[in-house]
Amino acid sequence: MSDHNHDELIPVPDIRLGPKATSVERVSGVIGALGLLLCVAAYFANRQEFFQSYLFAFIYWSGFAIGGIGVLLMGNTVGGIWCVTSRRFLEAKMRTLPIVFLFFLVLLLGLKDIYPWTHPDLVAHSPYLHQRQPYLNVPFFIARIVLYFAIWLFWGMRLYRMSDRQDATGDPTLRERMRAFSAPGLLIFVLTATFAYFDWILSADAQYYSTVYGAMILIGDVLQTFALTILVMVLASRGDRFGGRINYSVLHDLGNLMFAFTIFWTYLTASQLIITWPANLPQELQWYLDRVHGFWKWMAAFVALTMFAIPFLALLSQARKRDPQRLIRVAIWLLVARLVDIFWIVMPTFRDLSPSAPLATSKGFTIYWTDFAAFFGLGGIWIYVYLRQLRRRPLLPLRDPRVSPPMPEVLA
Amino acid sequence: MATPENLKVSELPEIPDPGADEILGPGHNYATVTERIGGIVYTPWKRWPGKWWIGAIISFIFVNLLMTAMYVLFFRGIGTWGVNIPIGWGFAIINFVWWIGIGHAGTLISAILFLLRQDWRTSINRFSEAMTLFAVACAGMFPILHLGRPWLAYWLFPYPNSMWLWPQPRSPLEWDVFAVSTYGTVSLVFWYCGLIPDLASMRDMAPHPWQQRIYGILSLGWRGSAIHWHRYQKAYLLLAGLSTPLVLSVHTIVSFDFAISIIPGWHTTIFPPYFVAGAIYSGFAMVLTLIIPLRSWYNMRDLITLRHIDAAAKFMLGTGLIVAYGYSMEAFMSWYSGDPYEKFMYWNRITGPYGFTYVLLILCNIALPQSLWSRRVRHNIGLVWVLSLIVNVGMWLERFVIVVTSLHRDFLPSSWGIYIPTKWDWATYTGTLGFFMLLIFLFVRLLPSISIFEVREVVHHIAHPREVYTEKQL
Repeated sequence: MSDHNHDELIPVPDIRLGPKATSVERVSGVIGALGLLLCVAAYFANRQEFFQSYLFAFIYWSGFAIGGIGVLLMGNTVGGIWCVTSRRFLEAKMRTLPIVFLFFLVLLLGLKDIYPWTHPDLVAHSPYLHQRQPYLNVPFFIARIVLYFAIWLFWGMRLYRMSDRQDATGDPTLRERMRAFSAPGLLIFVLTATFAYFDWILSADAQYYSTVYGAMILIGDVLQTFALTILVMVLASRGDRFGGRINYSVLHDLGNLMFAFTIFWTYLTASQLIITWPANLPQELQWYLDRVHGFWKWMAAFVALTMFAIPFLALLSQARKRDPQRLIRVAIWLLVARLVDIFWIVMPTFRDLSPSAPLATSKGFTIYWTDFAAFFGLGGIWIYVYLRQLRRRPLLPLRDPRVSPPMPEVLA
Repeated sequence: MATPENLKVSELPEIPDPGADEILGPGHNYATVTERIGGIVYTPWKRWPGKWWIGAIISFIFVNLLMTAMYVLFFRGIGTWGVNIPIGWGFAIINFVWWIGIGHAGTLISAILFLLRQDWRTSINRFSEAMTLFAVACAGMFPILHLGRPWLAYWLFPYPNSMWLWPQPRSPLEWDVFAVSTYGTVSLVFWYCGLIPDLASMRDMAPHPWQQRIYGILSLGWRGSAIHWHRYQKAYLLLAGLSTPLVLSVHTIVSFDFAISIIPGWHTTIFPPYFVAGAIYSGFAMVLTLIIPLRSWYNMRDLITLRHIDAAAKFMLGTGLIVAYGYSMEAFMSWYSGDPYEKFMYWNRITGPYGFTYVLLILCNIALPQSLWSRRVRHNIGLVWVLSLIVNVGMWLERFVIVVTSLHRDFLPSSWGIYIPTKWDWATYTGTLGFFMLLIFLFVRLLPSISIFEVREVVHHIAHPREVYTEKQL
């Protein structure tokens, strides 16, 4: 009979990010720097278009940092080998929160270009904006966001330190303490992230409200976080550097979670549509009308197909979830699809003329060069910071007994 | 192997609970598990616990009350209920949603926790699946009774008929017909499929030929050969996969009954996830309400341990928090929307004539269950039982608040009204409670209420800890 503590005797290897990651880091740093230069040009060329593009890029890239802390808290609360093995990848995402906060500070320069509630004349003429005035005003808006970041960083950094201490001392009580600390954190995180999305995206719409909106965006964040985690884990473990510890069993669990969150995202998104569309209330329906007007309609179809139908069918297969090469193709697919999804959610408020969109810069679907500048600028910098964070520590928790055991059937 | 004659439920010395780390008490092997669980069914009537008799008789009295209430309803009509205009949906829909919600834990425990490989589901899955079926049976009665002409219930199904009359496919109430009947059918098949190996065990240990014959017929010729098990596990996995979306779909569609409308308080996009979470919340509450007395009456503390109760209590806490998230989103958005009717609805919900139900609801569903964060509370069985009752009440109040406070004051003050349930409303409701309990009592008497073969698997896993599930099961 095998020994109960058999696996704990095999030391977890101290593996760091390889040289290929260094070149990716450099390239993304350069792309980020060039993108930011273009952003500066865009700021002076067309301020309003620039900030609207910037919001889109900000929502997409901050989604990884917010999803990172969310998945970390969730994984610690519910337990599971997948979370221990992927912990460093999630922690590195969480550690990008300070740079995301810097991105947010830039956004403050453009509040007037994005949010109708910053315009007194619009507020005076809209009963909805007038009602929301006590909540949607600049000082309270800034105070709230600062509070959200403070809460996320407080929880994230304490978990990060506990994780470091576990590497150093191997203290077995830390595992339970991390769990006890994460459970209330998860609760507070879900509430703060929900309101963050009300503040950042929903409030840009002069009419719309939806109770599921925050959860819908947040679950999408979790989905894109799983996709990126799987991608980076598989790439980092190329050539079996982890001695079979990043194996098909862990990938299968992560693949299943990605599958589950694909379904969950679809569930929330479809529910919102099914409830809003037949009710046909002008205040709500305008949000959808903006998003199916002209070319946006094709984008909506594209989102439905790429965020749900294709990944759903792809991830039904057990074999695909166990084959790293095939699994990362689905992950990359989802990362691209989510980009389109965020664009479709955020941008029609600025690129469609309707009572919902008083600050629109075009009458219908348009893509400006500022979209690319903001996306690559923020993205390059974000990836650079993410990889630097990932490089700082061993890629697996060295002393957590639950980290996945090496499997003889190593990755191909 | 001991003969059934010397198995005495009430005379056995009390078996202690092995604690929160164990899913099975010490000293069990395959034979003891079979004897303990199967033996309960074969205990002679005279050695049957007296509490069972008291409970079954009281339940039977309430079943008669239900019959009486139905008789009065059919004889005199819906006017015997308290529903009126504007509150056209009263107890019938409240109780329907409440019962359907309770019916969610069974399939969740059996299917989703099976797919998630949670070890603590084994001892409670059979029981909660049975509970699901009985709860769905109770739920199904209400819309049919509410039709006023229940003998025309078959009109709900689309079938070619001489009147060329078709149901309205755009109505979520019509979707309900299919959602609930599919759920009931799949739950029944899933439950029965899980019972087959145990029915064969019952057949093999039957003391009388007639019992052997009945369980023999029910076990469909199960011999326990390797090929039987192989096919069985495949079928079970497939059924688990089929049942999983149903856990979500039923209550989602129930939530559409409300949310598709434009009534403030009903028309809100958070309804589907929050209804599903609420359903699981109340389902777990009902599981705890029933298994805690069950394990003590039948001396099964080593089979349903503190580990099961602790896990179910945590599940209850988690789903309860999702429900709380739903309430807070509703409250915030009703203000944020800027819609005067939305705002009024929420204000009226808290301060109107039914304000006390809202306060009680928050107390029962959100405030008191927060004590489950504490391990000491979760490990205090009596307290967990009381909390499970409180949550059951809270979830009933939730449906009362949603249905009644949203309807009784809508857009036109001239058409406002008040809803007071009549004695026949209460008789029907308590009657279904009696019906549900009687079915539970009979189930415990006639069928193995814990899955014998799955607990035997647990015995095996405890003896061979490094053997995880096979590849196929993953």
